[in-house]
Amino acid sequence: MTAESHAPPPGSAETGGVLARRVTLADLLEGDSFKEVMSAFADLYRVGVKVFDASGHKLVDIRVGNSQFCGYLWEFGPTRQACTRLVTGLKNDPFETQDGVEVPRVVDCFTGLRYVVLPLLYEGDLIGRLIFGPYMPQSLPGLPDRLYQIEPKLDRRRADALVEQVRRAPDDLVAKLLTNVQKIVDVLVFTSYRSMLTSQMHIEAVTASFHELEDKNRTLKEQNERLQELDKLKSNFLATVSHELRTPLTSVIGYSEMLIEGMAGTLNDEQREYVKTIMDKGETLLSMISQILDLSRIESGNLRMDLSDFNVKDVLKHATTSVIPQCQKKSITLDIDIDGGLPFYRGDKDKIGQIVVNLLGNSVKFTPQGGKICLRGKLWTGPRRNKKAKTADDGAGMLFDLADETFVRIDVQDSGVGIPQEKIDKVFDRFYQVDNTSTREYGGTGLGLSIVKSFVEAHKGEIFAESEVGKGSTFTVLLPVS
Amino acid sequence: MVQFNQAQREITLKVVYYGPALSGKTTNLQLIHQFLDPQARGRLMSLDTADDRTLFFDLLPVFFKSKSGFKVKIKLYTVPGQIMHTSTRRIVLSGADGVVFIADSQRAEAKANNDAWRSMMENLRQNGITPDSIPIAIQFNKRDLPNVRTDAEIEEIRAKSKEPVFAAVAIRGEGVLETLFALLKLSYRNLNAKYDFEGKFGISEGEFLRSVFKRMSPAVAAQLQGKLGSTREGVPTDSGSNPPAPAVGDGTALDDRTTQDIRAKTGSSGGSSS
Repeated sequence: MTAESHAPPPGSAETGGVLARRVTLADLLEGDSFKEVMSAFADLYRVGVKVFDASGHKLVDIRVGNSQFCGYLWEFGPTRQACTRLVTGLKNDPFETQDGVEVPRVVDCFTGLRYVVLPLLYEGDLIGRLIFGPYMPQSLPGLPDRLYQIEPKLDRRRADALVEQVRRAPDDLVAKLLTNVQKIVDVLVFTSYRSMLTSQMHIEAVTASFHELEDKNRTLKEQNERLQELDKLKSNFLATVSHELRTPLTSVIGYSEMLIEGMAGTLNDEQREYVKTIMDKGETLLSMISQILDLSRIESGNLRMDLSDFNVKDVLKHATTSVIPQCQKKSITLDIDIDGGLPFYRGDKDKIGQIVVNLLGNSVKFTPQGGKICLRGKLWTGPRRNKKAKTADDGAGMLFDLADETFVRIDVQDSGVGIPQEKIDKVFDRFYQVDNTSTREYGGTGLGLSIVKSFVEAHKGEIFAESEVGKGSTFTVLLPVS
Repeated sequence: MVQFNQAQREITLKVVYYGPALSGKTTNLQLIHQFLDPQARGRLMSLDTADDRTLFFDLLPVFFKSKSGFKVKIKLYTVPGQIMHTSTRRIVLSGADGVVFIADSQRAEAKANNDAWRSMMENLRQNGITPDSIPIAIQFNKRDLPNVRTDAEIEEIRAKSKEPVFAAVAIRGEGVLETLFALLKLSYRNLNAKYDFEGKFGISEGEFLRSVFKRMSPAVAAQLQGKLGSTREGVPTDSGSNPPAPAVGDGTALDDRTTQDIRAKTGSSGGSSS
């Protein structure tokens, strides 16, 4: 991971993001709910309330009691002008500060009515102002004379009557209740700022984790692609090498055969025995190389199926002939139980033959002297063992796999060493031998069963093994009859 | 990164409390909140889970207005200590101007301390901050617990470490302000060297520290004075010229003040129409 990939994402503190963002009142307070709270407050005290945010945007404007009085003054030019000046000042005039902190302003109107302008502060920042008023100060006996100097046309009796509707309040009470308002607004702002930060941090943390995972996924994907490429290279290499190995080996075997047949003169018994050993070992080697070649073909996707209709019984019988000599050598009894009713099967005859040869060869290899091997073939109807054996495309259709299918079923049962339960599925892996020491004892490349599995799957069939250590194993091949 | 807002005449610094889970980062902030004058700090905001573990961070804003008219805000953050919150730690750490590393003195926590320290270095780098370029103070917390590193060991670490090392029992407030004081002093010097705080903004180191630590309750001030007597500025208390503010109790002073202000104004105002 590079430093670049984790440079602060947009919206982080460094780019002026959530932690550094300046809060505005309008961001934090839900407009209608805040209006309701302020409205309840204004009703309770019968005094108007206005709230502006720091940029002068009006959030709340509630008039109580003074509408008619102010409306009356608004009818006359000079009082209208004075009123406009006053209201502009309330909204815009800067606060005085004490020790760098804004303090409330008390503003008396030209009518003698009074306003208090309260700074709304958060973390020492001025985020807005609350204008409380107008109210009639308790100490004010009545409307002052200077009001009538501003506008002599005002009707004193009417003005006196209208101003009666304006709440008369002692300053002490006003100071107390504004302290409460300040507390309420403070809590509201704090709470919503906290929620805002929480949700923003949620988003940022999730985004950061997402980017991290994305980075990791990309790395994994790249590594995986590289591995696949290497795997392919390896398969190609195996294919080339095994092909190149086979060519000279064929000559070794061919010439040995010619020697045995006496084409280059008669051999004495000892010579014949030696040459025969050369030929036998050559053939073993050839078979191993063929397996590697098969496997590399399977892996490189070059497995060609040569389909035909054939008699399964014949193929099974023919396969046994390849292991009979070895069975005789180890005094292994080979039972063959093939159902006469087996149908003709459409598939790759050679590959099915090789499946059975490999399974039988495997059994012979792992069955001790005097053991028993049984080959059974029959038509069988039942469910698949492994639902995943079908292609991934089947997806949700897996549910329907519960239905039975009809298969040609081939079982190869032996009384060999057996396979531990936890390793039973691994025997079909390439190069796998249950116990690595067994490679020395029993020989082989560890490819046989892997090839068998590939061939079975090429026929859309299934192979599985059951085993008990020390008692023997049974390998079962199911080839679907379509 | 310190933020300058010339239009608003405002400077914002970020200090982050980093350290392993449950080492006492939040406790440090709680005690600072308790000790500082309510006029100099805001509310302590905790974004925590139901079981009191920090989910995202705690935030304690500290602020003052300089004589030259600049508003200085110092935002103290903690990071969540639990391993799973890596990305949150990185986000919170981004743009830090100073870091306090809270280590747990318990022997069993040595590995957790090391892991947290390494993750901090890594997170700083990933945020584009060279660890050498920002001040770091180390606090060995929980000195009162059994099975902790000995004083001699802490002394040895202090001798080797290029960062200042403090011993603390945060839960009792011991060592908390000392650590913050030292870190803020280093941060000031670091920023002054980079941005010429004194020349450009007219804020001296003395004023900077005095403004943050002013008007602490006299007991705390005295305690701090004793411990930090050797520093050049000492600890400014101002307790002579200001009434001692309550050490605890959120906002009471502010509220009283509002009431007083309004009373004073209404009492004295004759008819200041505008």
